[in-house]
Amino acid sequence: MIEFRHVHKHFGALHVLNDIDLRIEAGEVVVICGPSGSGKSTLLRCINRLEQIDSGDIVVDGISVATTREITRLRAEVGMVFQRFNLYPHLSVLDNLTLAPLKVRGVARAKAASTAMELLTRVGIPEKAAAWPAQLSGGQQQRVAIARALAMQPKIMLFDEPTSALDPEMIQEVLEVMIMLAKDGMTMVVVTHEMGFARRVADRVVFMDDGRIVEQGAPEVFFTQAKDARTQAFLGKILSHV
Amino acid sequence: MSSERVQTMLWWCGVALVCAFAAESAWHLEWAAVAPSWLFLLTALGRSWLLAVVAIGVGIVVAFPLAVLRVYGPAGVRHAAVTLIEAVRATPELMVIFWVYFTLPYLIGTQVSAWNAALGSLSVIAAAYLAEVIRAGLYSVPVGQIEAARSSGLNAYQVFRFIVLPQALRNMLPALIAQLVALFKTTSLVYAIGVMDFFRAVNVTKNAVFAPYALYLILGAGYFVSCFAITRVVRWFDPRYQLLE
Repeated sequence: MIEFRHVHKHFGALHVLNDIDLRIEAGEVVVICGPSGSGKSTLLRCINRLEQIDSGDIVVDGISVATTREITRLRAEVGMVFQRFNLYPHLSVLDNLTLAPLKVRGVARAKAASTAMELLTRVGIPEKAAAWPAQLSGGQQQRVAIARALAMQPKIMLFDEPTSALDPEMIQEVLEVMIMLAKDGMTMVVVTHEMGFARRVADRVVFMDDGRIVEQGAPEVFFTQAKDARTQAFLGKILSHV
Repeated sequence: MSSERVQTMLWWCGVALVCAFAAESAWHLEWAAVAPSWLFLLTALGRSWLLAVVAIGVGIVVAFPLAVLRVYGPAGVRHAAVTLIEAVRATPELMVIFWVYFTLPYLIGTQVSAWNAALGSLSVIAAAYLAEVIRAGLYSVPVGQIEAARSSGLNAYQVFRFIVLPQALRNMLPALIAQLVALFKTTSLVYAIGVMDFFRAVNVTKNAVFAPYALYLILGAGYFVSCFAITRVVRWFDPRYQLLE
């Protein structure tokens, strides 16, 4: 479904992605973790070309991301959820969900609205359809953001630290929506520090450091038998106080 | 009685006294001398309004593409837009008016009437300043908004039309009001090239009849009411006000 082939990317002198090779199959849930600045967010953002790569290739759903002339068509198939929610503050919750289906897919308004209501029900806040984003809590905003991405009926969902900006008591409600999605068979790439989520839901955990993929494996192996010293050090830091 | 209430009462007594004194003084001003000129003055105020409205209208129409080019245009176009905007903004408004009235005829070889020079120069000034207001509005929309919209599959035009523009317009409103008010006041500068705007009309009247205090009061009131009206009218378009009410 997603394939990185020898991908390199620089931000000035910084080599943020260094020879990345990665294959993600349809229906797989992959968690990417690593210290800050390791390139994990950048890797995620390259999948829908929010960042351009310098060399190598990324193939998503059979389309070469770097060279395609129809990037909007590819983006329509790839939903994205951001750390800061990024809901459109000037649109109601319902309009946040229907904008892209109306404008990109050309879905009829009534159909788009009914799909949106179904999704809001699925994420547990149908009663907020008419609300403004600013009237919602962080957890509710992030659930709306997930529903907004799902409204396009994407084949792949990208999550860029979806719980990092949330108060602790709101993290769970967002994770539960993500778990539900994973169980429904969605292909998901998740950048997160939520190791509990990784352990329960991920098919694979990928550890990055310094622009490279250092180590990857099934969660039960990854968390108990990490081979690389950097992985062990990282896991030691983030798991020690759980 | 608490000292606080005494203070409040004293304060309002003071205000009432000042108001009464001002009203009484105004009553004794030379209104009889000014009265015959009321239509002349009102027409001139209308002329100032016409100048402002045309300048703002033309200004916005020109400023919008100018700002968009400055933000999104390719390097060459962007630099041209910057040069144009900064050249006008970095020179006194009066100089721009003089240039259009005195220098432009020399360059194009035909006379420019004072009225047309006033319209033209004010439009140029409006365009340059409003372009900056619009640019600030465009920049005020967070990058995350644009990324969210792009990642949902909207194309560049749709991102601009449905996400950037509505938020930019709302964010630029306070600066827009300030700029429109400033522009209205700038219209008074055209008196220097002989256009009979409100400012000049008041001065002409003052030279004809002896009523300086009444006329200065009229002058202040005319501009104040006009600028206040602009503020109110623009606010009326603010979606946020409708949202909260």
